[in-house]
Amino acid sequence: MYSNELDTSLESSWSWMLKFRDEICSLAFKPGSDGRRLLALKFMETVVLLYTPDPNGSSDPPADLDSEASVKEFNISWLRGGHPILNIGDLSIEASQSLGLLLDQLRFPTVKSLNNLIIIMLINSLSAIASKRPAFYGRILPVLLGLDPSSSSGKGVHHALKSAFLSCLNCTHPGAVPWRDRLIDALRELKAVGVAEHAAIELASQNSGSLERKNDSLITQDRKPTSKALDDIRNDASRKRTGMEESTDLLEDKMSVKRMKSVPVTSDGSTNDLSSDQGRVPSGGSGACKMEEDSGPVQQLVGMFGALVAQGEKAIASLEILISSISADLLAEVVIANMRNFPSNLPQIEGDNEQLFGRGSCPGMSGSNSEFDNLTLLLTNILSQSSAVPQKDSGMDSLPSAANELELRGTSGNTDVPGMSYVMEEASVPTTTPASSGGHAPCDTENGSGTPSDVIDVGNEESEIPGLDLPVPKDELVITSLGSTELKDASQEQVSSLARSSLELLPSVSTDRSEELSPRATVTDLSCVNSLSATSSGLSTQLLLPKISAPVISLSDDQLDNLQKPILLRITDTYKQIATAGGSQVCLSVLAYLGVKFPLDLEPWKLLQTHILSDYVNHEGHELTLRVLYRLYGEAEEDHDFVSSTTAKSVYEMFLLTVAETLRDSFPWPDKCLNRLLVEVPYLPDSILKLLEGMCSPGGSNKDNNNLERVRQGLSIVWSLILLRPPIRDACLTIALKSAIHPVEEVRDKALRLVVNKLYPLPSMSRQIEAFAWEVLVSAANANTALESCDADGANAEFKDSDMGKPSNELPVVGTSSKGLSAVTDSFSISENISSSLLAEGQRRMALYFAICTKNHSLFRQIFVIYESTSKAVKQAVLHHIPKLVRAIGPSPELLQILSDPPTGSMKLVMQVLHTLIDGTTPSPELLSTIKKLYDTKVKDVEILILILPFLPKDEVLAMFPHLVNSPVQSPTVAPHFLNVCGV
Amino acid sequence: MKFRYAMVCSSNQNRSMEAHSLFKREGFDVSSYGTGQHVKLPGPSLREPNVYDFGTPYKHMFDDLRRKDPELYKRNGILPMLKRNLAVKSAPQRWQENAADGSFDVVLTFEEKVFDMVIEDLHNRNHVLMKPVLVINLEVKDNHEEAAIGARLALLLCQELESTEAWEESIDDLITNFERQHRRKLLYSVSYY
Repeated sequence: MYSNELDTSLESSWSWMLKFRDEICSLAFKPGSDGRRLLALKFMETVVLLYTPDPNGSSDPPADLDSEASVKEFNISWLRGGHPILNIGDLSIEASQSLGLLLDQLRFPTVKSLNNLIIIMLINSLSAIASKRPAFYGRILPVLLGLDPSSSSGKGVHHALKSAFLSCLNCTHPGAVPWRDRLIDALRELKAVGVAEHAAIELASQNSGSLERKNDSLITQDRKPTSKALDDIRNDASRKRTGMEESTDLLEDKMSVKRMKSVPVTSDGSTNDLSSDQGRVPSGGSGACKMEEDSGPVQQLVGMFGALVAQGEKAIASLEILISSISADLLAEVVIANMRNFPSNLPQIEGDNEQLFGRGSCPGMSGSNSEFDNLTLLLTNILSQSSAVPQKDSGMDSLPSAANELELRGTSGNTDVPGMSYVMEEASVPTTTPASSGGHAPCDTENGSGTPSDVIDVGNEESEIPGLDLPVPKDELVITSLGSTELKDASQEQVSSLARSSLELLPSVSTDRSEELSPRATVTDLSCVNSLSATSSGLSTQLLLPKISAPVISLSDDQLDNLQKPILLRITDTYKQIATAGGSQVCLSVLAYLGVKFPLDLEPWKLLQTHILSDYVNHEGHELTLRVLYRLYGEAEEDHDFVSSTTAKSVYEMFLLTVAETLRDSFPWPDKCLNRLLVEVPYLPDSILKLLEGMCSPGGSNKDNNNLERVRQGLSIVWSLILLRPPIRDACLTIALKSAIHPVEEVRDKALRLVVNKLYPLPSMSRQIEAFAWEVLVSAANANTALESCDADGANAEFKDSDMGKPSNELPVVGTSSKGLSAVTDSFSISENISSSLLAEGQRRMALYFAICTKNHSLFRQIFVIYESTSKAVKQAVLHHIPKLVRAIGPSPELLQILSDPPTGSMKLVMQVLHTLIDGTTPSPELLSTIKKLYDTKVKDVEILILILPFLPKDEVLAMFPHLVNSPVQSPTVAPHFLNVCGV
Repeated sequence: MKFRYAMVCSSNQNRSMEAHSLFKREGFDVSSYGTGQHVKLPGPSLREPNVYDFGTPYKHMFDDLRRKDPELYKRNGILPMLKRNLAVKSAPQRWQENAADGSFDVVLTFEEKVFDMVIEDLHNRNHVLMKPVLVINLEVKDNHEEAAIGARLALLLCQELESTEAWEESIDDLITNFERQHRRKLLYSVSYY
């Protein structure tokens, strides 16, 4: 082949290729099959990528073009040197046009006509193009950012957009950088659209950490990226081990969300007042505008304070006016909002001491780094001028700020604890001083001296805890503490133990204080500020803060372990004392909280268990157990990974089981401790149901009193659970029914009382009970029949004899009541061939059915129906039960109906019933007529007439006389009756 | 059954295996995977989970845990779960290493994080076949009870998919109806092999 022929063929094939491409591309926009369009769109995406140079790929073709791998990574840049047919410029233009077509699809109003699948596909394709060809960012992102996720019904579109933004955000190409702010804003908007995106958007914010922090945090310079901490906390099962620093980061994030929500509630009036000042608020950077919108007036105020402070001394008056004009609550919000601007690591360099001035004393510490420098300068100047102010005072002033710091951190701890709020409300400690709003140190001197002294007290106690002098590993728990110069002079050990103890107590105790940040308290503070701010000396005192030492103590896991156990023990010990003073609610919360926060392998649960079970009543064991269980339940139900939830569930089960077993053994019937606990716990695992089953159906045939008491206790609990825990009704009913067929009669009787008198009347249960009772009855009949089949012949013959002859022969004169009945029963005297165990087994299985017959007489008929087919033992058991049952039922209409038309083969049973009915009482006219009817229609046996002979009128007896005389049965009871009738 | 399914969770132990087991019983062509780095199973404490590599046979895990603390692992349902798993397939498999298993038509994930990882992984693969794959996320809590419920819902969803002519034409309606009927939110996306 000549080269010109080759060129011609190449041109021809390329032109066909172009035709093919055009054909496919046209399919992408034709309405019709979505399946085809999906493929065509993917084709277009590939075309765009192939026609444009890959900035990350090599611009030179690989040496070995034949290898498959090289072909996959084709880069149009390879053709820069020239190509006979392909022109890079033309191809780029075509790619641009194709991209334009794709983008047009997502523009209004075309996008309205697309379904979610195609929109998702387009978003995916465009984000892929944007990520791989950042040169197109400027064209693609405006379209994607312009998509209104709320207009789309499908959640898949939201997610696709979110993923697209995230992937664009992760792109490191310089062309992508200018878009980051808008992407972050868009992700925030998506957050508002769907709650499910919340976590991912947080992640996005963290991924873009440096940029966002630049906008949000104006002081932080060396703050560690928090994304790792977030990931760790969210995903890692061993998150309980992550340091407080990481937790604080997370908590701050949560706090900021909480704050955003609470701002409109706190003071609408203030918000309105501030609106006029908004123009003066310096912008925190273009990227942060969204954040400010989210945070509302609080962020604006922070910025305003920052701006005023930056103006130096001349702005002091304005600062005072501003402080006095806003509500105390809002001021507190400002301080809290500003907290996150503090660096998580306190500066290591001595020269950076200036940064410490702002801690909790200056709410306006915000703005930019230069503003902060100005503030520092201002403060330094004031410090140098007011040398007359004694150091002691400044030391006193610093204490409240330390307390504030602790309290505020405690607040953030609270946000991490779901379900604790109710505890906190109850747990308010009126004896503690209400938290002062940050920044008002002078007026809090009195309060402040009280608050830290509490803390120091705890610190003194904790100073004995070992492990503080150990070396400090990196990246471990970082604890910061603020101390005064006096504190610094004190022993280092004491200071650090203060930090540690306060840290451990933060989650509950100090939170309670912050919860008490009532308007009333802060108003007092505010007025105090107002009075003081009238003089410049007040201000100078306020700003005069000492150098604050910042001990940083990092503890390893082992060291923490060594500390945590004694801490828990100490708390449980002190709890016993505090309980008498009425602070038990707080302590219960602390204990339950620590139980969750401590690593499980330290076995905090065992310590708590020991504490609870050592004195269940006086240690408020019920309340503490419930709190612990609810915490564990929360842990298990929270959307953790498999390991965490399963472990929490396992601990829950063991905790509850141990407490329940101890209560069962320590508080027997009629104590209701166990009952109450099982009714109130979050849920009952299978192990507890097994425990209950064991109580209601004790093993073996031991009928000692302990066992019977336990049965009563168990059944009482089962009854409570059935009433109060509908989801486990079936399981409880099964336990009760199982107990109702227990081999021990005493146990059975107790369960029968519950089942028949309390459960059977419940409409939702009656059917189940009937079905179960019937099943057991039938199984009894079948089982015994099988057992007796071996000696069927002889026994049957014997039974027939006794069936036919003995009863009538031995039937005594009617009217001898119980004697007569016992004789009837005895007449079926237990054959030696029928073991007593079979009889007992028959009775066991029939007891329930017979018992419910007393409540529903119509069920009685079934006994007559199956009677004939049952074994001897069962027949005997039936006959044993019948007198009790018939006496309970009486001659009810249902029974009379059965007697008037008894099933075939049940005559023996009928006779037994009639004997019981007539025994000792005068039969009702209905019964007499039923019997006469029975004789006339079905039973021609005169024996049935003999039963009622004494109760019939004379003429009727005479009319029957021929039948009686001709009867083959020569009953000795007939003659006396007849003679009596005849008047002889 | 016209589609080939993949069930994906994080460890290929609980949710994906519950679904795999159910789908297999129902005669579906199904595989299952995990997207995590390791297979993590609960241990005596949170700090001591049992960690295995993907590819470690379920039987090995079963024997290992039974040897360690049979009472604990029976009570928390791990041993029964492993027993179920080893009846389904021999060892947990990692999604990111499944290229040799061929292409799937439908991938079901049970956690949004896993969904994202699957999408990202598919996105990073070379798209040679240009064959679309539907990826659906059904959020299911990672515990035994929820996994059983999730598997049944997944089965219903896939039975619906099987009943369609082509999922591309009806996926929107199908998802909407499913969400309404079962009060569960679904996520879905499309990728390619």
